[in-house]
Amino acid sequence: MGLLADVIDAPGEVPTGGGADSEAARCWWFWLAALRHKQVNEFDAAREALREGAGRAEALGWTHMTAPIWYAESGALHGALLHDDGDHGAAAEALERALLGWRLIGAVLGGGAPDQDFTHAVFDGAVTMTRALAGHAVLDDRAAALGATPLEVAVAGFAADRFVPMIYEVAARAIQLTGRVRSYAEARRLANETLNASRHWSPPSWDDVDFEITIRTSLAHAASAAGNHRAALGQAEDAVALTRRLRPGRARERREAEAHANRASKLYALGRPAEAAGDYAVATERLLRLDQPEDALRTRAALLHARASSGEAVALAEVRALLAEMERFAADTRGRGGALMEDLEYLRRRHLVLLAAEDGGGQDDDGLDEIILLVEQLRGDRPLLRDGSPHPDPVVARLRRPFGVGATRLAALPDTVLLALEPGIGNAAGLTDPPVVLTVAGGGPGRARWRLAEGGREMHDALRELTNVAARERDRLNTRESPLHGPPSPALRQAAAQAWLSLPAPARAALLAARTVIYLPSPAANLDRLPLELLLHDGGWLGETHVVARCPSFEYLEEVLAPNARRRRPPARATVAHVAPIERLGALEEAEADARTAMRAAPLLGLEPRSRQITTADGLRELFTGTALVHYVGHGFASELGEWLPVSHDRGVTPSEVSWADDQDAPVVFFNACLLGRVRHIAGGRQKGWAVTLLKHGSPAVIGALDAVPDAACAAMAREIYRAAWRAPLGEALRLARQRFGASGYHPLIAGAYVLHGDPYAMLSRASGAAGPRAAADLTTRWPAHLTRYLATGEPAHRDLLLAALHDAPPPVRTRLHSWALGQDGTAEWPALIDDLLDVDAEGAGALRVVVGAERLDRDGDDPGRAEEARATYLAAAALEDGYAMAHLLTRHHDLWRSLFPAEQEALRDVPQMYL
Amino acid sequence: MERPDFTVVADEAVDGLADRVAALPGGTDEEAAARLEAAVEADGVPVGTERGLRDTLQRAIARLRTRELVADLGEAAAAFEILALHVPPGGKAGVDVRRSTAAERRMTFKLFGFGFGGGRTMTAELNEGIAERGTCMRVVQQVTVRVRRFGGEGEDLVTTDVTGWGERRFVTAPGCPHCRAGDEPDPFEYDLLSDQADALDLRDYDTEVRRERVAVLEGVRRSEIGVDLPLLAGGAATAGFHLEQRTSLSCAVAYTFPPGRRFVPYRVYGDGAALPYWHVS
Repeated sequence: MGLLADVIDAPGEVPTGGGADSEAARCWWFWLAALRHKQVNEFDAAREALREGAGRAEALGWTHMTAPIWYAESGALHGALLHDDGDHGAAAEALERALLGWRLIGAVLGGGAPDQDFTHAVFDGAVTMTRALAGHAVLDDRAAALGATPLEVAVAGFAADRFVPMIYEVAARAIQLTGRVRSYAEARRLANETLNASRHWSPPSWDDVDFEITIRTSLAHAASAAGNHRAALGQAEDAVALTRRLRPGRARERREAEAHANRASKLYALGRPAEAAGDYAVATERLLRLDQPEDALRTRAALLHARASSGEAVALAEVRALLAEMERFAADTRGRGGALMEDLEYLRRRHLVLLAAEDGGGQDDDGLDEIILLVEQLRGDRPLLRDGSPHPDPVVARLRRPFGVGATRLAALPDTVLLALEPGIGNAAGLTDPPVVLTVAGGGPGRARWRLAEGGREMHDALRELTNVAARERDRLNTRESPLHGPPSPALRQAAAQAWLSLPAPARAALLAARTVIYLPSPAANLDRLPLELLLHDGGWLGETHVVARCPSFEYLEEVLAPNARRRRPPARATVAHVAPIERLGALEEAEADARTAMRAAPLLGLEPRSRQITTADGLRELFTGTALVHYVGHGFASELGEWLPVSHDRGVTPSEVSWADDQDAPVVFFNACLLGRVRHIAGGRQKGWAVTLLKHGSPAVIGALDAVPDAACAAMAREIYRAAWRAPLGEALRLARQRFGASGYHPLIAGAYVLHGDPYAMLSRASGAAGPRAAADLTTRWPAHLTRYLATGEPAHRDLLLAALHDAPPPVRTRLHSWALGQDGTAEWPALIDDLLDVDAEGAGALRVVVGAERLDRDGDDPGRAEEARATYLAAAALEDGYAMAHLLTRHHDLWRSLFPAEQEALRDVPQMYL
Repeated sequence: MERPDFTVVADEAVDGLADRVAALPGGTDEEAAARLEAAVEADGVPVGTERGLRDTLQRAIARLRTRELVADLGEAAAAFEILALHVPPGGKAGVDVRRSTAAERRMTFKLFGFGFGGGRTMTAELNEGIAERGTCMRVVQQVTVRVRRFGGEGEDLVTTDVTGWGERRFVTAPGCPHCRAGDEPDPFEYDLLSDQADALDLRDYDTEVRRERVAVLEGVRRSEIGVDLPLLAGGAATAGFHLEQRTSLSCAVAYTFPPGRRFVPYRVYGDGAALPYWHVS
C-alpha cells in the first residue's frame, strides 16, 4: 500500500477538518470524512461533509483545470453518494463528468497530457492530497528513504493507490448508470471511449485485459438495466472469454469466478435458471478454492435461487442456514456493498415465500416475530433496538421482539387490520413467485391474529391485469377522450372484482371485517402501485368503503401507535404553494382554482392561510417548515431515476435537497400533482420518495397520487378532501372524498389515484367542531402511557388521568398503582406484578418496569449493578417509544447517561425539552 | 318582457382532434403533435392536461391514428343549461336587460364531442329579460350530436360530433334543490361571502321587501354533458360533449322577499357567470 491507501483504506475516526494546517488540507479532510460516512451508509452526513469541503475548495479558487484531482475525487464521491442513495439520474450525470476528469488524469499519468499547465496541476494536486491526508513529514520521510523527491513519491502513490481503483469504480458506475438512465447505446459509447482512452495509460500494475473485463461486465449490467438482456448476455460471455487471456494465477481465478457469476445472472434474467445454476456452481467452486468463503456465500445464495427457479425443491432449513451465514457476514462487514445487500434481499424473499407456502397463521407470536423481522429487514427498517442481541432482562427482551407492544396497540384502533404485501422473487423473464400476503389484526390481550399466505399466480395475474386495464382507462380520461364524469368500463369493473377475488380468502375476510386498512405494500416490484383502493368487492370500491392508509414500515407504524411519542406540532398555518407556470410542461388551467380552493379551505380548517408562488428551487426547499399543511399545486414527476417537484422544465427539487427543520415535525402535505404518492424501492430494501421522506421527518400524513391525474379534476378533488377533513381524520377524509366524488359522477379512477401515506387518524383540522382523537396515538393511550407521563411530570393533572385510566388495568395492578399514585405505597411489590403482566400486557409490564428502574436508580446511588439497571430501564423506555419515560430518565443522573450512551448524546439532548 | 329571447350572432362548425389528425400527412406522433399544438390550443379543442409530463396530445394522436369505423350509431339529442334565474322562496324575481348594450348581453358556447369529436361554436345575445315570477326557471339549449364507434388498437373509440343546434327550452324549476330552507350550504362547496351584501334578514319584519340591483355576470364555465344512447348502454364508452360557456351579461335583477325569513344568496365557488341561489332560514 502507498501513502494514500494507508490513510484512506484503513478504518479510522471520521476527521473533522479542525486539525488540518491549511485550508487545502481541510478540503481533503472533509472529503475523507464524507468517504468514511458513505462507507457506513450515512448518506446525509457524507453529503454534508462533502458540501463543506466543496465550499472551501471553491473559496480557494480551485477549478477543474487548476485542481483536477480534487474535482475528480470529489465528483466521483458525489456521484457514488447519489448512486448509492438512489438518485440515479443525477448520479449518472455526476459520474460521467467525473469519468472524464479521471480519463484526463490518466492521460497525464500515461505521458499524453493535454497541456503543460494541466500536467502541473495533476502533479501538484497529488502532492497536496498526499500532504493533507498522510502528512508533510510522512511524505518527506518516504521520499528521503526512497531517494526520490516528494513529488515523485506523491505522484507514483496517487497513480497506484487512487487512479487504478478509482478509474475501475467510476467507469463501472458511470457505464451501468448510463444504461439505466439513458440507453444501452449511450452506455456502449461511453465504454468504447473509455477503453480507447485506456490504451494510452500505463500506471503501475496496469492490465488492459483486466480493465476490459470490468468494462464488459459493466456494459452487461447496463444492458440489463436498459432491458436488453440478450446484449447483457453477449457482454457477459465476452467477459468470460477475456478471462482466458489473463495470466494464470489467483487473480485470474478470481476474475473467472466473477465473470461466471455475472454470466449466470444474465442467463437467469433470460429465464434460463438451469444454465445459470451451472455458472454459479463454477463461480462458487473457484471462490472456495481461493479460500474466499465470504464471497462464495453470495454465489451460493444465487445458486440456491437458480435451483429453486428451475423447479428444484429447496428446503426451508437450507435457506435459514444460508441466510444466517450471510447475515453474520454482512454484520461483520457493516453491510458494505450494494450487491451484498441485494443478495441478502433475494435470500430473505426466498425465506418469506417458503414460510408463506407453509400457510402459517393464528396467534403464534414466534411465527409472527420471524415474519415481521424478515419484512423489516427486506424494507431496511429494522430498528436498532432489534439488533438481534439477546437481553437478560425479561421485560426488555419481550419489548424488543417485533411487535412486542404493537399487537396491544393495534387492538386499540377500532376495526383496523394491517395488510402487508411483499413480492416473491422475480426476474425480467417473468420467473416471478406470487406475492406474499400478511394480515394482522388486534387479537386478545397482547396478542395479534395473523395469517401469512401465498397470493398465488392468480393473484399476481389479476392484480397486474387490474393495473393494466386501469392504466388504459386512465389514459382515455386524461387525454379527454372520455369524460371525467362517467362510469367505469365493464372491463375495469371486471378486472377490479377479479383482483379482489384473487386475494387469499383469509385476507379478504380480514379486510371485510375491518373498516380501516393499514397497508404496508412493498415498493419492490412496484407492488405499492397496485391499486388496492380500486379492488371491487360486493360492497363497492375498497377505497370508498374502507379507510386505507399506506405505511412504509413496521418501524414507522410503531412510532405512529406509540402514545408517548410526542409530536412537535407545527403552528396552525397552511401554506398553499403554487409553482409558477412552466411553459414547456404545459399550462395548468385549474391551478389557480386549486390554489384558491386550498386558500378558502384553510381558515375553515382553523389554519391561517398563506400563499406562496414558487419560482425557484430555494422556494421549494424552504416550504416544509413553520406550517401545519402544505398544499402543493404544480407538476410532479417520479420514475426509477428519482422524484422531483419541478420549478422549470429542466430543474426539479428532490426530497434530499429540502431544508428540514430540527425543532418541529414536517407538516401534512397534499401533493395535488402527478405521481408524488409513489414510493421507490432501492437496493437493500431502502425506500425513496416524497411521502416516505416527509413521514421520516415527522409529517403526520401525506396525500399524493400514484398515477397521473387530470388537471381538470384537481381542484374538485382538493375541495372534497378538505371538506371531508373538516370534521374527520385524514384517512376517513380521503375515503369520504372518494365516495362523494363517485356519487357526483366522477370516474372512480380519478379519486382512486390519490392515496394517503401515514397515520389514518391524523387530524388536520383545528376548527372548533373537530373534536376527538387527533392521531392514532390518542386512541392507543392507556394506563401505561399515563403512568410514565405522571412519573415524568409529577403533575396532579397527569395523576388524575392515570387514576381515571386504571379501570382498564387488571385488579392487582389497579390497586397497587392507585396507592402508589396517591403516595400511599412504594414499588416493592411491583416485580411480581410485572411477571404476571408480561405475557398478557407487555406494554403495561414495560411501563411498570420503567418506574421500578427509575426508582432504583434514584435510590441505589452506589450499587455496582447500577449501570446495567440504567441501561435496561432506558431500553425498556425506548422500546415503548415512550418519550416521557426517556425524558424522565435523561433529566436525572446526567453523568450516567453520558457514559452509557456516548454516541447518542446529541440525539438525546432535545428529548427532555420536548416532553418536560 | 315575457320570456328571455336570444339572437344568434355567430355560429360555425369546428374540427375536432379526430378530424385534424385524419387530415394530416404522415410523420411521427411527435411531429403531428408539434404541428397541431398551436391550432388545437387556439381553437379550444379539448385535450387533457396532466400534472406530469406534457404528452397527452401525442398520446391522443397515437390512439386516433389506428382508428377504423365500426358502426355509425346515429344521431341523438342533448341539452345544457345556459341561464337560470333563482327566486327567493316565497318571493319573486325578474331580469331586465333593456338598459344593457348588445356587447353586455353576450354568451359564447364552444362544444366539442367526446372521443376527440368535432364541435360547434355559437355566440348569442340575450334580447329580452325574464318577467317577474314566483318560481326558479332555467333556459336550456338543445343540441344534436352524431355518435360513431371506431375500432383499432385497444378498446373501441366512441366519437361524438356536435352537428347542430336545436331549440331553446324554458323550464320552470319549482322544486329547485338550491333555493330552499334547510342546513346552511356547505362552505367548502359554495361561496357564501361574495354575495353577502345582498343577504336580507326579515325574520323580525312584517312586510315584503323589494330590491333591485345590477348584476354583472362574467366568467367561463366548463362542463361535460353526457348523452343517453341506447346502443351504448352498458358499454365502455360514453357519448356526449365538452362544453365551454363564456358569459358577459349585465342586467337589472329585481327580487321580492316575503317577511318573516332570512335570505342568503350563494353560488358555486368561482361561478361568476350565474345568478345566485337563495338559502332561507
